Amino acid sequence: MRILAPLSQVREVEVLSRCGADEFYTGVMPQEWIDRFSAAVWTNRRGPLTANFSRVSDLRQAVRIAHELGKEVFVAFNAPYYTSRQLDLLVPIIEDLLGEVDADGLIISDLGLMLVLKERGVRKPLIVSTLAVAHNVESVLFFREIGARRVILPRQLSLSEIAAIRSRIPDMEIEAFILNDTCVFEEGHCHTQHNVPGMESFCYTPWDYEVLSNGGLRSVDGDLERSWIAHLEDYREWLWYCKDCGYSMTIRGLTNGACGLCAIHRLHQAGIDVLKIVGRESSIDRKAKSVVVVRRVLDMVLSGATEDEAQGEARRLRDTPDLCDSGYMCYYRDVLAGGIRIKVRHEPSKVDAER
Amino acid sequence: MRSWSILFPDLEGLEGFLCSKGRPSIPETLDPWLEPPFVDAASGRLKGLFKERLLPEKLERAYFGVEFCQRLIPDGDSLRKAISLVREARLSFSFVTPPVTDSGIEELRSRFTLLERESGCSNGIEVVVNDWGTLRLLRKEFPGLQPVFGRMMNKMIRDPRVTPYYATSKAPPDGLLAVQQSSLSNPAFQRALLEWGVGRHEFDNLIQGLRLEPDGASALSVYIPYGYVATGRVCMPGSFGLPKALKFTEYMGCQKECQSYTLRLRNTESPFTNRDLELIQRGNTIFYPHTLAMLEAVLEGESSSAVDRIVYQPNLPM
Repeated sequence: MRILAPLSQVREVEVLSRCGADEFYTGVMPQEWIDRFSAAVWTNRRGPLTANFSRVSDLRQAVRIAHELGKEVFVAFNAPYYTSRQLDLLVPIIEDLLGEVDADGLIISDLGLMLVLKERGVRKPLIVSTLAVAHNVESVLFFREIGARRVILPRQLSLSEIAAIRSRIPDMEIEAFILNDTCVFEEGHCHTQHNVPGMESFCYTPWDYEVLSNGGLRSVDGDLERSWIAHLEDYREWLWYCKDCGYSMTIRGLTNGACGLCAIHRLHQAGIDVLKIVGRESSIDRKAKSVVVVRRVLDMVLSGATEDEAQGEARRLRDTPDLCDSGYMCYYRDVLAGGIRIKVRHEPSKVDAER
Repeated sequence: MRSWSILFPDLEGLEGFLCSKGRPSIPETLDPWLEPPFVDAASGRLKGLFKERLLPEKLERAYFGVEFCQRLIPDGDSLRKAISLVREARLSFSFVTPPVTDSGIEELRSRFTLLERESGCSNGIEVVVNDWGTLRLLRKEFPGLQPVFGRMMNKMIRDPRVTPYYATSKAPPDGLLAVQQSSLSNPAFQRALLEWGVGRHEFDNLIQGLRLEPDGASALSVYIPYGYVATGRVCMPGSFGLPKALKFTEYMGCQKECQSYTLRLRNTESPFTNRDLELIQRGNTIFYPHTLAMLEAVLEGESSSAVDRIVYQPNLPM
């Protein structure tokens, strides 16, 4: 089981390698692309500013250092789709990245791009992005037949669903999310602009909600309205957790928010190959601390720790028992079925569930 | 020549439509989301251009099923009855399917078995596919059913907060075209889909406009008057009534709250110029209603001369 870390600067390669990263993924947003299509149209799922290398020469240097350290670097071209005009510009860039720059593979969502690269004889690994929403055995087999080496499973799968896919397809690499930046909707079925400068993500927009009953589309009232107001407050609280707990961090500098550390034991038992840390646009500090905690728990698991021991260490590293107990920070909340007590964050006297 | 299809997510809607006094007629009353030029605000009745174009005699096909949630896949009895009703109305039948997990694949396998049996009695049964796994299942096990590439399979941007700004005279031409076209403009993609038996591609009508280039082989459909922005397995309304700790997960059951409630979304304090924007959430999915200009663009054929089918949703498709 390997740790995949995000990369957007040359200096991060050595730092994150020392922290325990096994392989890297990154993106590139060349100026010629921006000149032609504008900065509003992206080469991959993350925006052009801090999430990508803007110069191929920098990426070349990062790849060289990674190779000296025995690590692979994959480049994300996982925009939801590409038109033929975009591919005219993009394919030569990709071929240069795989050839002269010597990147080790590509992360792709658009089937059209995969087919073009296969037609042109690209042999380096193709990794199916989470945006392709391969969330059943049939879809993973579909991409295997296209020639993909690995599939990144969507976030909105339970541990048991992930394990079932793994068990039925033992001969393909499977990657699962482990830390940072979850999604409210399924990322591959969310057709919004991911991060517009100065504008909240679509899912975090502070919408005013009006609840209507379908019969006649009238506003709900009375007890029903009060129940919905309470429900929408719960929803906003869940969004707060999704949004890195209000972009907060622990006293040790670990970012709060989406976390699958407690699930590493089960993901390892299921035979998952790669754990993905999210956040190409993050600071080097955030990336480093993220890699360190995943490395720590994974090393325990690899050296034979029990699930309880690994989860105990995960919770100790996080050091946010109230946030962890909410369950709302978990990438895989079904891991809590192991017996962790779930509390309500702002109402400590009430216990919503004990499983 | 364009044809019309009409989409009903459930048997009740389909029955109500097809069983009304003889031949089908276009429903007069819509959800009150559309702009006054198309709907009389007081009565909610269709009027003008929209009504003129919704001619029952051009109606050729009924769509049945839900694209957005596998919990709403119709059971076998409902599907059988829907096929029978549509056949009696002398319309063709399209079965609409959502993205699915492995349990959903098993459900679809059972429905496809039924559909294949029925396909001997009905011409041109289509399956609207919104999942790569479903497409593989059809190709491998149900080659007699005709796959159609659903609107969830094309990933064009549909963000109503920002896309109005894209379609302006200031936009760089190649940048604008990039958000008005899809993967279908890629010849390798077209060839592969034809090889897999996919001859039709379906699209949402987009705020920034569609500029679909015909490839000569694929047929195109456009859905009106609602498009979708985002969806997923976590269903906010579907968690209503659950204990707090169990809310907002992909695997908890629901009481099908989407069948009882609809949410109106506004951002009246937006710092941008989109305070009038109004979106609709039903179940796990956010929808945008089409504006007059968007509907005209499709009805007048500006989006593409290759669009040969309009899929009309008389209500939100959930």
